[in-house]
Amino acid sequence: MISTLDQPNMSPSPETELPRVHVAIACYSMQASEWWARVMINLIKENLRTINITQFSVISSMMPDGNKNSCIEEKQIAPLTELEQSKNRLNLTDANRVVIADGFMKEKDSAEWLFSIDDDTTPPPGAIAHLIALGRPFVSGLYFNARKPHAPIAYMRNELGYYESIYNYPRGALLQVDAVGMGCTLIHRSVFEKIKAEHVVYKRPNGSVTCVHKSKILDNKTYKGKNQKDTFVQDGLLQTPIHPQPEDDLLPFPYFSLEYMRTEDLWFCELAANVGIRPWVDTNIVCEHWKMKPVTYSHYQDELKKMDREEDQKWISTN
Amino acid sequence: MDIDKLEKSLTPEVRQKGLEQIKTSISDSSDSFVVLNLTGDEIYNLETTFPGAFVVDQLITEFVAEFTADYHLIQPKYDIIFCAHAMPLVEAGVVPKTIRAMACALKDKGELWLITPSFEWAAAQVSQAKPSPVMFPMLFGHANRSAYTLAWLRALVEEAGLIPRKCYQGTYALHLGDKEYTILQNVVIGARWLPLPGF
Repeated sequence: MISTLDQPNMSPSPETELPRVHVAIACYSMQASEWWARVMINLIKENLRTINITQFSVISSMMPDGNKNSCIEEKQIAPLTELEQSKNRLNLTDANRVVIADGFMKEKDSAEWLFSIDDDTTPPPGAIAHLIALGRPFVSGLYFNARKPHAPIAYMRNELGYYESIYNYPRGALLQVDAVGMGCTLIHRSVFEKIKAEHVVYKRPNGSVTCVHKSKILDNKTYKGKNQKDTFVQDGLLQTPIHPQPEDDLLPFPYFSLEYMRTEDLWFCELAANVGIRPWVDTNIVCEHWKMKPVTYSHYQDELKKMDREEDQKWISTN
Repeated sequence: MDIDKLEKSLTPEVRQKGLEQIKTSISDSSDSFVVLNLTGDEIYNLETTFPGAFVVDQLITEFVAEFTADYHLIQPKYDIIFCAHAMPLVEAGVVPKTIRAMACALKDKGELWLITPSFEWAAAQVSQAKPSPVMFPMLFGHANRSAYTLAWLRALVEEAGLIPRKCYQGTYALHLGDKEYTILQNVVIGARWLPLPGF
């Protein structure tokens, strides 16, 4: 009953009759054993009953996922040299997610779904089967920012193009949003395929890669200016000389990228939006977000109540 | 109720099916795109929402009396069951049975559209020093016997075996005297898809 764009062929494998899922944790560092226990118990309960977990990828990192924002900020203050950057890339969440996506795409006959968890989120029992049953190619559960006021990690773009958290969402809502995190997110293989098919990868002067939707490539001319290696500003546009990625270049497709002070999940959501796919968030699937202790729905609810009380106080003082 | 907004949420398949009916002109209702319009006090005109559809109007109280007693009486003959602001007339105790009966009356790939006043909105008004004047008629007017949160409405739809396609809140205008008040409504669209193997 949903469009072909929303509903690719999501029929499960004929051999097992269970949907095949590749489960991935992008940035594992040293999370508490309690976290591992909760995640694994939930996954074991689901496996071979409602889903078939074909692979479990864990990319270890020197840096937990929660530190990625400060890392981006540091980079802005003191940019790393190209060499330093390449040495440090594998500590970063985007590089880890790209490695996972690349591996997932290479196993063509394996899983239809990629389920992404962060090293600090614990999806509730049965989350994967529940998300699959919604029949959406790109759908996420919900968790809350560990820092007060515990913003829900699902966003709509405002008129200026900035992302705003879905505060005060109605409980039980199933919403199509502009961006979600990757802490409890199920993505069908067709989403990655469509993104790759409709984007062209370019290499930048610093050796990194980026991609552009085909509809936004106005011509195939190469840049003839003197500043072949430099980014510059002209006519109000940031201009970067780029070259199509050579065929023998081994850098994988940039599905994720930490850029412009933004997290890598926003980049992926924008690539998906370019090909007509917006994520859904199911507010019935609520995860814990672990730091020293888990941040849960009740923390978010307390903040909402606090905001309400402040509003009441304002009303009393003005009436 | 803002039917125009709802119309935008029609799936391409449903819209296409409706348009095809216009082209071929309906001669036999058994093959046409059939909408059951379950109503309360007010009958919504669905001609623009479901163009070309064969619309059957029925009072929700009649539907409850007829079908919740025996599911064997129910034939899956509707592409859409549209029930806007009529569910509050159903006794709370028979609400789950009613939703199940609606689900049974849908064809494969049919959809149940449920729209109710938001109980969350009313509950928030209850705790206000000066609640909205429309809260009382919304909760207790028109012989209302039940009220719905979005979460409960969705749970009812899922328990009836439907897959939630849309669950959200929107606004609608309610008139009291010569004044217009904007209040919230809950919208849940449940789809009867062919079940995926393994589920």
